[in-house]
Amino acid sequence: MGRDGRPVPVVAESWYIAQDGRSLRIRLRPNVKFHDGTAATSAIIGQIVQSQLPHLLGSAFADVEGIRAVSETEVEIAQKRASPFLVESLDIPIAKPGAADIGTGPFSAVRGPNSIEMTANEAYYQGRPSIQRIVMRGYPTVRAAWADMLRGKVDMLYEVGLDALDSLQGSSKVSIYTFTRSRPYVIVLNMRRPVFRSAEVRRGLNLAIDRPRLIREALYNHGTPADGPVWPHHWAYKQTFSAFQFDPSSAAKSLKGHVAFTCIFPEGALYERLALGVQQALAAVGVKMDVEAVPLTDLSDRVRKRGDFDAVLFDAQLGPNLFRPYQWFHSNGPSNYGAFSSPTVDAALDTIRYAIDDGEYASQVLAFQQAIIEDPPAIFLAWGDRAQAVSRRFEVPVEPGRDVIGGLRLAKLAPEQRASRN
Amino acid sequence: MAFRIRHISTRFALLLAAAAVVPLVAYGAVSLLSLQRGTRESVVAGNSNVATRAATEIGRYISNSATLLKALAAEVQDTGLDRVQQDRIVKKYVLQLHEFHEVTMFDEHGVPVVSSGAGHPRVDVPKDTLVSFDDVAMSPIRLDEDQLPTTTFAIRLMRLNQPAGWLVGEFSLEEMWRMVDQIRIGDHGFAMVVTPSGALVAHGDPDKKALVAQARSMSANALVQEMRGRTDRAPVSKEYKDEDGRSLLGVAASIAPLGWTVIVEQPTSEAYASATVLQRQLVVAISIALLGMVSVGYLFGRTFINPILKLKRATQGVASGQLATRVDIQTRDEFGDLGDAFNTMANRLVELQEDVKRQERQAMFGRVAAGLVHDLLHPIQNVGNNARLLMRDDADAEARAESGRIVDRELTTIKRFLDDLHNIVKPKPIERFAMDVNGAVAEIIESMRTEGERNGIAVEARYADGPLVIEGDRFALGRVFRNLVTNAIQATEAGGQVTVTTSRVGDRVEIRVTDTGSGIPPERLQSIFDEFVTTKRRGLGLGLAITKRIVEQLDGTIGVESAVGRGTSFTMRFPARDDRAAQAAAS
Repeated sequence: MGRDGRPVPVVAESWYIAQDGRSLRIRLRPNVKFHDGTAATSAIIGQIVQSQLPHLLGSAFADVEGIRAVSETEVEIAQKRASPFLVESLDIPIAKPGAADIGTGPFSAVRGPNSIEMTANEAYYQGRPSIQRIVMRGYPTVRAAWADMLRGKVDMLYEVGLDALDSLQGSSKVSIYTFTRSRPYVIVLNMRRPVFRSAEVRRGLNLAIDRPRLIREALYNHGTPADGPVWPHHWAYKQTFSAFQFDPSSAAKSLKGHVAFTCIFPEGALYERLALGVQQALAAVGVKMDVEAVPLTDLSDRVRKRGDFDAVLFDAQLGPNLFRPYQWFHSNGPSNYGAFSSPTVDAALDTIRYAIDDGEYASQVLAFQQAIIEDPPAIFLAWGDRAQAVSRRFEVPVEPGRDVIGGLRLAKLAPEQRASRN
Repeated sequence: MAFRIRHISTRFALLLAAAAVVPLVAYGAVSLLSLQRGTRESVVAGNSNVATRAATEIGRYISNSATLLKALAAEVQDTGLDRVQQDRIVKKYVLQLHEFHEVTMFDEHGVPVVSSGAGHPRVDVPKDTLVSFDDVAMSPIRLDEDQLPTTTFAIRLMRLNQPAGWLVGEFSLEEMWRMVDQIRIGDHGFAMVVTPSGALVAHGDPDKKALVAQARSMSANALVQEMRGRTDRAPVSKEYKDEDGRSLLGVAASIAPLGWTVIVEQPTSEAYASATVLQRQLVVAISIALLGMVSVGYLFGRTFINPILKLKRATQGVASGQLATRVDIQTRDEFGDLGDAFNTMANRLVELQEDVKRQERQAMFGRVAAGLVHDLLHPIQNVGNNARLLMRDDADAEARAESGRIVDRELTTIKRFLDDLHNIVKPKPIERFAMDVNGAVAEIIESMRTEGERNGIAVEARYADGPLVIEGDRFALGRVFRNLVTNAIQATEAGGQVTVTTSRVGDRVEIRVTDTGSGIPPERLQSIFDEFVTTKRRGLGLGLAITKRIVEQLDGTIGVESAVGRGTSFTMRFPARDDRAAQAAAS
């Protein structure tokens, strides 16, 4: 998806929506191959879409009537009722059926015990990458990875700790790229817990957060206040009202001083600071929020499978389109881990789901934003910035505001490095 | 070879330049030395000030951090707060203040009871102490789990004057980096912080932070070594080279309570840049001054010698015969007088020249007149006498015949004389034919022998073997030979000898006319072939001039050798013609 929430072609060369909107015909690029050399035919792509869409769409998959390959390079998806979410949901990873690590991207990946080794895909349909091999290694902390970059052991950091950003800014050996992620930091509230059943309490929790201060203290000023689940750069986003302004007195009235819960979050300094910041803010309005750092696997298990949490702080994929909020906050959304259910929100999302044109879509986005403010399913904190660092040994063409990962295909050795190798 | 300067203006320029160079160079050298010394002292003083202030600030920052932790301890200990309240205060503290990564409170048994972190505490009760800030112990620098330098601050908590645990904070050295990063001198001067053991804990150069992460020891640094042995707190400066070979000016100052050292390094190229610029400007200024001096000297020299140059040009003009040349020097000094004297001299020269010309004309006229009288008087007298004899009735036939021959001969002589004069005025064209020189010479010898005998002089000839053919004009060459033989007879006393010799010399035919006469003085040899120049007391002096002209018209050469009292020898050479056609034509 593009930064504005519009779809952009990747494996698809183009697509065509029938006059009645019920049929989406996707023309694939003709020379797409999997890393093992087999052709990514329309039949296989159709099979992949068929396997992933039910999980992505959840109950909305009921709108899909059928998926079939209509030619060697065309896949047709028929719908019972036209929905723009169908196109938005097609932002899915392409992996060969039965082989999760075999895709069609510019690099093929081989997982090792402590790293993932990516090798240039010679047959990549947009041209072979200049970089032949990339080794991806995980670190226990962002700080440890940053220290290794300082030592010259690492050429790229996928995430630079925001507190360490200043130390790299002036370096002549490292380029820094920052962009705002379409994954805001939110605290999803579990509606199964009685404490959160009241929309007034949830509104009060949102009003208790001084987002600019939180961003300043926890994110070192690298972020944008989140006033809801809609990606601020989405083409239909409108900031026509002031949502969730910091209002501790109103918050205190809404909360009435009887709220206590535990917030779990993934281990990591940034989450910890965010959690402590929220804890401090809520404490100021009489809310007792305990915090608990949980290993990522445990957190996933507790949240996704067992629903064993009061509130969970993490970065939720809510952008860059409206299909993502639908997944999270529609009562039948596949990612509605908090069991949130709001007729108003559902109605707005359903209208977006079946919007017949951009006008209706945009008006319902506004309705959805208003519905969320009235009945928030989470505490919306901030659209955080992500800082990434790349050694100046490499030139990486990065579109402003986008992830460096997307530019790795076109990355190459800097001229002086090429000269020194010759 | 000695170097010589010909032009006075150049000498003037160099003189003034030399007069200026010595003081200017001396001034420049002294200025440069003073500038270098002054700049270095100034830069070192400035950098020392920065290092001292940086050391003070860093020391204060660490000391303040310790104070903050102490304030936190005061807030949580012995105040009746429960664990939840203590926990909230500690978390708030760490969230709002970035000096500590984590703060944890331990009970007396070392068990964590409150922590700013959400998980298990990363810090522990410190076992050793580097330095204490008013009851706050700071541990020595160690490497944490990320292999980055870190340290902890710890405070002994008390309750009712009894030990009640510890409050331990993990100090954020990276946060201190921000302060070190802000210490900049120029564009390339940075600060770094080194522990007494040489451990680098902060570096302001973004590209050198890797050294901190690499736990690089700075023990080999000249300033670190210098500081290690010192007891006083005064900053130390040194110039040294870094790993890249760059020359650096380093200044070190001690961070008082810690024993750490702040080193401020700046490339000397930047540190002394202003001095370098000033030096360059000084050199340029001196060069310009020198150039100005030389230019002024040159222009002054030119002005000074301008009258001399005018006089020089005028003198050269007069010397080349342009007697009308005058100088125009308007100065009221000696040069003006010299110009007037020159013009007066030139005017006088013109007058003298006119006098000389007039006298020459008069002398020439006299000489021509005397020559005419001399050359024509005798023949005319002879003609007159013999004509009178012919008119006498008593003259016999033989006498008449003799008188008739004499009249013919004298008329021939007069005619020849007039021909010579005519030839001088309007030379006759030469007609070339192949001819045998021996034959032509023989004819002349034969005709002149009688003349010689009459004067008691033997006229002889020595011929080379065989014909000597040249391309000549028999009549003209006859005149040449006759002139030379006649001159020889006239220059030779009775009993003397005139010899004509022909020979072949290479591709030339040589005719030599030699006499044993009085000879020609050397000073007159140069002009002997000029018109109206003669060694004889009488005569127009045309014979040798005509002779030379004829010889040269026939592509020949003529030369003369003479010794006074011994005789004279004229030598002519003509191109020989050896081809058969010429030989046949000559025969």
